[in-house]
Amino acid sequence: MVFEKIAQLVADACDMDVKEVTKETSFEDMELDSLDVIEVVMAIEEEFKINLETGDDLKTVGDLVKLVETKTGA
Amino acid sequence: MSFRIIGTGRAHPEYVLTNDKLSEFLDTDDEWITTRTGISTRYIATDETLTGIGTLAGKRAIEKAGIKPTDLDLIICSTIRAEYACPSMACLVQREIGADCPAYDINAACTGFLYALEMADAFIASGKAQNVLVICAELMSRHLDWADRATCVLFGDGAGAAVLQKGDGLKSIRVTAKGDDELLVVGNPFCDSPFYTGPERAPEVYMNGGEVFKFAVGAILKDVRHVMKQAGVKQEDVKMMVPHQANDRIIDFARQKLGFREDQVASGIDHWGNTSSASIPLLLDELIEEGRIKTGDLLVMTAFGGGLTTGACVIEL
Ligand SMILES: CC(C)(COP(=O)(O)OP(=O)(O)OC[C@H]1O[C@@H](n2cnc3c(N)ncnc32)[C@H](O)[C@@H]1OP(=O)(O)O)[C@@H](O)C(=O)NCCC(=O)NCCS
Repeated sequence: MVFEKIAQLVADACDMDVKEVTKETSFEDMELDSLDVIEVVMAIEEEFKINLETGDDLKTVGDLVKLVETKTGA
Repeated sequence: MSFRIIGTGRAHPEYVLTNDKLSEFLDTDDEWITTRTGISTRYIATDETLTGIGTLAGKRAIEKAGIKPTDLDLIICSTIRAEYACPSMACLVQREIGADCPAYDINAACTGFLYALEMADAFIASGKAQNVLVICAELMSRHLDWADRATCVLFGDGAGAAVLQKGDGLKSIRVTAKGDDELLVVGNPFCDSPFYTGPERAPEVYMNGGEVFKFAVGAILKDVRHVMKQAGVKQEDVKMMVPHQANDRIIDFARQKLGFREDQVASGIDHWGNTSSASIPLLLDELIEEGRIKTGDLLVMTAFGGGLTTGACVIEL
């Protein structure tokens, strides 16, 4: 559930098909720079109603999923 | 409400610092800076003084307003650090322009212009003043750590001013504060007191870029929606949003969320950098000069900065 929601937000951010997003997908491959990632993080915060620290080293969609799962205890 | 803007002015140091020049002494490059921030060049003071550029901006605003310096009832200067701890910048400007009214400085970091407008609103609405001069002037280059590429590339020097006169231009305004010294700090030069026993603290600039980015976008969305609702105006009524110029990426992200068209949002960061509280009034002056905004146009201004402070207003020019 967490993955599906995040995959959708990431897909929205770079105008790609959500089916192409996997946990291994890296932001670099999608040509999202660190500020684009912050924008995705903000969308996630809104969606899950949580606060995330942007300082963490986020490289892939899986990193985001892990971060959200720890935050929400999912 | 209480006032109209009847004249604006701006001034800046002569020297233009390019991104390429920065990359001569920092591990950075033009591409990183332009894609992450929108900044290409910024003015940096060499022998200019804060009072000098502030006075020039103020004189130009008074000239355009068509009033005499002695018509002023109050001078409010906004700066994060004046030339002296005392006297204030406002007192020195008062002397230089030949005014005879009370004058003082305020510090609300990058939100200084909105804080000054809020203050002027109170003075004019209460009948204590008819004409107020607001000058926002910053020499950010004198407070930066020029070895820190993450912060020093972002800022520039400049001054913007506005003369406010009793009238009905201001439609709504709000400012906020939330004390915080973790996200964004510009340190002070340290006095060598022989009695001091606290921790050693070098002058510093500290910024958590990612968190400030989030704070900034959140502040713009919240404040702009608030003041637009208060004023009863819709996106299509607004001629231009004039946001604090900290980063084009912040502005563009907020713009999309607010539903403004690209041509409805003012940008001058490419040639100014972040000039802290000066960024809104100097951009206003530039937009008026270029004929992009004129009397009768509805504007939304929004700012955020250290403090943490935020503010926004709706105003008819
Ligand atoms: C400052 C800002 C542009 C930095 O962008 P960011 O995406 O957060 O950048 P990061 O700090 O994560 O750095 C990303 C990488 O670029 C590097 N970098 C930082 N500054 C750099 C520069 N000038 N040139 C080249 N690389 C730079 C970093 O070292 C980092 O490299 P690493 O991943 O190898 O460690 C951005 O955070 C921002 O604008 N925040 C808001 C700031 C603001 O508005 N302040 C004023 C408020 S009034």
